[in-house]
Amino acid sequence: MLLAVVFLDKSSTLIDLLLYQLSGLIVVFMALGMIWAVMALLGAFFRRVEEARAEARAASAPPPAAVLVAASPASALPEPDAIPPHILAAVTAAVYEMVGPAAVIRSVEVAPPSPTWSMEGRRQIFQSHRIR
Amino acid sequence: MSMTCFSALPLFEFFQTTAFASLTWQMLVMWAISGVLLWLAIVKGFEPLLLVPIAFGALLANLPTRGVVTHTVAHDGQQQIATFTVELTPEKAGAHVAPSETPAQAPADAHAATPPQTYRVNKVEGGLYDFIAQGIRLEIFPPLIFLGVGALTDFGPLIAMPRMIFLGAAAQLGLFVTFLGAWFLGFSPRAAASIGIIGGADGPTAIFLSNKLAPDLMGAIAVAAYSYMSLVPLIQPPIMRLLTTDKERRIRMHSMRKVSKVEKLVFALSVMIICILLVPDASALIAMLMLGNFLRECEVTQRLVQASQNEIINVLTIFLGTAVGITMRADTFLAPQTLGIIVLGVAAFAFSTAGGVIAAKIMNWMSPHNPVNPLIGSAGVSAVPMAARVSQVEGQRYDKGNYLLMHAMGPNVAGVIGTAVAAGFFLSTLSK
Repeated sequence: MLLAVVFLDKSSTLIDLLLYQLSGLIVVFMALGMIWAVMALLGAFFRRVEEARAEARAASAPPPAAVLVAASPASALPEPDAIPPHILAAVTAAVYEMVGPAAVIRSVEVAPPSPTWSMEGRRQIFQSHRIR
Repeated sequence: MSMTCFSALPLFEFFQTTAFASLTWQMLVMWAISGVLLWLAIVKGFEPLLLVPIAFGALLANLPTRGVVTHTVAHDGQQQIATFTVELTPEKAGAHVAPSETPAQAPADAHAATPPQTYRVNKVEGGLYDFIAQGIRLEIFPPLIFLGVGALTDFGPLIAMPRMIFLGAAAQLGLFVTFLGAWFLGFSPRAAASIGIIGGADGPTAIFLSNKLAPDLMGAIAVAAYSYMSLVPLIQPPIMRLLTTDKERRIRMHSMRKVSKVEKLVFALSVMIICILLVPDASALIAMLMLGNFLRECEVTQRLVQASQNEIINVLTIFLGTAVGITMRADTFLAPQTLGIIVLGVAAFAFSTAGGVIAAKIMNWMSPHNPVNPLIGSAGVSAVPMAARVSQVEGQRYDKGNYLLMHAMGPNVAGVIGTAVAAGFFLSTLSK
């Protein structure tokens, strides 16, 4: 009964009206619910595929490069051959530019991959388009 | 007769051909309203891409032009604009059945279709916008703009967190609540649906629906929709703060997984098939939206994507905006119902925002181990990407390290689909 679509006219009552609104909301939820079901199934399938690929990669890949942290606060920098010197120079310059001469570099680590920069890129793309 | 009198006569006749005598005070009021819209668009930056053409079209509509738009009165007394006349001459007569033959005696081929009548077009008369406005009347412009919207939209955040789609669905609450409000204010069901769609914050859908159900109100509805889209950063935050606690606003959500190209392609096809099967009246909008998105995500049609994102959408925006503005004649716009539309438009946005936020809270109640920040619920109002940015800004007020933008894009783009489905529902139930 709830799914019966009420066609409105001048003689429609408040109950007809409320049933009509409810029907409309149910139709919207039904459509998007079906889309959700498809996406959830798809997502589960692709997550399994990706996990299987990651396991295969982990099994065949060499150990990751060493990550070194300074032993004492005063000395601060890692072994020279862990991170190339031009990378260290670039990081130092960037920190100086952002923070100023008060910055003291105490450690440099290879951070795990993160989607933050790609998210920032997408944010800037969206910001550049005034669509509507 | 003196030389002065002789030369004054053609000048006098010329002045009689000018349009000064056709000016009315209502036109002057509409000039002021157009000026306000232009000020909002240019100085305040309120959706200038649409409001500038709309305001310009409104100014044109209220000038006594010739060769721009034709106004006629139909048999039922209804004013019509943007009609053009075609003068035809039949070229060849069709086949005739002899009067003496009865249907029982008629030869077998009498039931065959009468050959089509051919006409020659002698003359087509109409103004510039009589033809351009057919893009709206014939439901061409809004779906083609959706082609560009689809090409610009990344559904990745939604695919990565599919349950966000329910926030986009819940944000359509404003449409249906506003329908009720419009009904009680005396609007017909068709007008009420056209006003309610403002809550979807989707300009092309609002124009598409109102053109079919309430073309007289299209101008006011479009102005309200685009104006309120710009006011989303003002309308939404108070409602978001009212409906959420401090603890809820600080919820940090799990980071999203990467979405593959195949998923995005399958998503576009699935959405199109499901929505068209459920609401065939929204086929044009949904099909073009997903076509644009499919072109974008397949990554082998870059030229088509570039055209959709730039040339197509830009050209159509100019024509759509001005054609909508052309409908804003003084006699239809300067009416009490315009004020009702403006007030109801705010209500539509407010209820849509509330619907999304409350849906997020319900999701947290049902699934406390994987909470959703309710602030992203308001992004179900499909003002892309403005509403998502509002969620981001609000979230950062309470936690500087909380980045909600990409999470909010999920319900934001889901709202586009939800509004199109809602429009399809209204069309299928009210356009008959």
